[in-house]
Amino acid sequence: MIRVLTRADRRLAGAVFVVALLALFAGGRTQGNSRDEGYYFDAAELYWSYYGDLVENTARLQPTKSFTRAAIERGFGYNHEHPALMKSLFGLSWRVFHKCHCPEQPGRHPLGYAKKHTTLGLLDEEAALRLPTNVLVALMAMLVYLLGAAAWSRAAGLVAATLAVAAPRLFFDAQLAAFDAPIAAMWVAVVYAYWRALDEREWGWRCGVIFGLALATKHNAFFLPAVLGPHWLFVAWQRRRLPPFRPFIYMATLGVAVYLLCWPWLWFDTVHRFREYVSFHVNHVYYNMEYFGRNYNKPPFPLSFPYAMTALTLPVTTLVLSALGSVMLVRDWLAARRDNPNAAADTGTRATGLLVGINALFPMAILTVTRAPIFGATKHFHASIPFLALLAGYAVHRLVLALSDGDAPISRRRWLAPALAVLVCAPAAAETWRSHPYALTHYNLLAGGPAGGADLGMNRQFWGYPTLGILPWLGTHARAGAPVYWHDTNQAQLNMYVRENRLRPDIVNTGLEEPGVRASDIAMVIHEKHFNKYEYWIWDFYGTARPSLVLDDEGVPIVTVYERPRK
Amino acid sequence: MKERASKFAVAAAALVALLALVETAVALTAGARVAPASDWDAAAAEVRAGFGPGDLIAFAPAWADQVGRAHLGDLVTVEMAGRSDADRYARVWEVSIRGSHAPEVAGARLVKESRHGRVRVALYEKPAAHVVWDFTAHADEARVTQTPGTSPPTGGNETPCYADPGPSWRCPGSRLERRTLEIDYRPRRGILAPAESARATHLAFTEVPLGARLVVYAGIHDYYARKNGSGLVDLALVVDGKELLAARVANSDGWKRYEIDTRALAGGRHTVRFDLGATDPAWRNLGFHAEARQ
Repeated sequence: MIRVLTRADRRLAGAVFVVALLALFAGGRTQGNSRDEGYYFDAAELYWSYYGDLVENTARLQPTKSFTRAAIERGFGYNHEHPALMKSLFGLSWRVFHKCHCPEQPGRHPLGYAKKHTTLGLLDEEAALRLPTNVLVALMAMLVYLLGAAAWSRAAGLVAATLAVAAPRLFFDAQLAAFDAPIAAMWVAVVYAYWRALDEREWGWRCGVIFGLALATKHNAFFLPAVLGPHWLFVAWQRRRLPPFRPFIYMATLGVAVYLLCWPWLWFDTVHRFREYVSFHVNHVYYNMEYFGRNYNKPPFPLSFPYAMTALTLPVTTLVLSALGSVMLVRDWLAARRDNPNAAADTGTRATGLLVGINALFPMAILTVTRAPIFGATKHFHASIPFLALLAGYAVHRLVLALSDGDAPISRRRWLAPALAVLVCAPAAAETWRSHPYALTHYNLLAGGPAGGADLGMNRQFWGYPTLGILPWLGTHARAGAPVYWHDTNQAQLNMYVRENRLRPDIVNTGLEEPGVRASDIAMVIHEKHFNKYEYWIWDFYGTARPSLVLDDEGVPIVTVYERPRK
Repeated sequence: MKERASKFAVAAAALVALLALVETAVALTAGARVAPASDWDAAAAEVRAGFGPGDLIAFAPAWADQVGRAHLGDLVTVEMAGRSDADRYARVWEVSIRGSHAPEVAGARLVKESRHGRVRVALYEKPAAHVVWDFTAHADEARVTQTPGTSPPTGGNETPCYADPGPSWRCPGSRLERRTLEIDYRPRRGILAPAESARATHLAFTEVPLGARLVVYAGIHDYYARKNGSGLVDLALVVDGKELLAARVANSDGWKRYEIDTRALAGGRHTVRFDLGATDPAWRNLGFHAEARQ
């Protein structure tokens, strides 16, 4: 039966939000930026420029100027393979919060700025751009708490909220101005809204709006009806009557309207552009992913990938509790039916356990069912994590109930829940702390940590994000104007490091591939199995196999830097 | 029933608590289990003190290679790092962590070993192959030509490829070079010879001393070529006009070893030619290395 949440629950939910936000914000300060973030940093400024122009045109009583095809294409043409919502939010956050030095950084922004922006000046640029992701994931933790607390108990909610965020790979993405953590948060929000809408009328339209926002975040959201539909049918079977169909009606109407509203690129030539968008993702280029020693870059991809990766990257205690929670949920459901086989319709059910269970599995199963490429390690199925965390929360809830049953002294009942909650959350917190800031190299206790992951031949990392770790060395070792081969780090990432005063502006980027290596005096290789050839190029062109610097995570090399020997 | 459930709950809670404590402790102490730079420095000092010409240094596990070379890279030449095998080395210094062993020491005799904190140094000895002629090392002595289709060079039908320092050769549609190749994601020192459309490429070496056998390695260079192309590359080895090897090299071959008995030719000087071509030459970056061994 669903608990009615109290003011104390809302306060706890607020506390969960604040703690998660602070942790993510603090982590982001030392988190290197990634290749895709580089593109989204640029997109954020470009998209914001559209809204800035809209405000100015409206002030001049000429708002229609902002709704021409040319204006839309100028604002949203860049990076239109992904919807615009998150990039617009990154841009808005940047515009409001960043400490502006823009006119002093010509060529480092996608646009030229003659004057400083008037802003609140509270955050540096990168932190301002990343803030929307931080906020969304903190909101996700809050919703996980509310769902767990309402369905089962506060202990369940708190444990689930903590384990949802204290998951190394999700925590990594939750610091970035990218879409993978936001879509996980949106997925949770849609499921939460749908769950409430099963009994509460006003959550029907909210579910529609949130679904639209989810679609406008990333295409993963298109799969949500496929999860919610079967659950809705199950609830109908249990209740012996149809639950409200409202959420689906609003998702199909209001959701689509919100989606289109958030993505001006689709306002012109809608069908053609939407087709192009779908085609881009259906026919996505195959990137490289090392998995148990083999580099995959074309089909067939291993079907075990999402499950094995989850098993080797989530904290083991979280995994064990999730498995225990699943077993307990099924057992409890069977026991309830056995104890009362002739019961009339269970009108109060929302089949919460089933909803959580299928959402724990489905984001991973999408890869299995669609045979999708496996690049991106775990980031494409992050939405599983909050639901696995909820299963773990249920396990804690049931253990606490069983251990403090009837005869147990009151004092034991009081300390048991917090003690168990702290104990089971400790490994997740410790693992997340340990993995920072190189979480894509991190593997769990089962794998043997980063070194164990390397022994198993698992993907070392991707996205060229650990470059931040070599910048202090480069700052002291590179001569003025040194030509540097940056390998997988793109120019937009470097621009941000210069804007943040983390990289000397005189250092030159020699460009891509062989000409870039040949033209450099300092070159790096960011280790992934398929990138080995770049290291061999450096050996050939520099005439040495002796690195000047090896950046490692617990002894596992992640970036190796070479200097051309002086003659 | 209730008692049984309670016992289950106590057992489950105890196991979860134990797991949580172990996982937390392992996470918090992970840094202490990593070999510090001082251990690597001490190990490197020992290797450097005993290292002699013709010795090999191998790091284990393979992923620790960069860390090892950061400490001993002055002794690990590009040729050593890109070796095809360890056959020519009589002594192998194995520098390892985490109890790993380099494949190069399999079957070798352990002479001595020592520990420097978390880094182990071991010296192994084994019989070494005597290399009479290394075609990659002597690549600058090759004459490179092309002929139409699959026809063998007859003198009149050859188009010469022009040599550049490096060494490398500019052919009409490709460039041959001595390089450190990426074959099966590992470094292999050899000659990069991309296949061309409707032309066969020939590398001829004259006055080559031969021993008891010729050892040839071949494979497709570059993961991107292996991803985008799938055709076979024909590789032939011709000694004094007689074909001794005809191989078809595929993506899946890795760095494939071929061994040819040349005892009948040992002692004298010979003309050795490598012919290569492909009917589907797209992305066919053949890489090969060969040695005449005693």
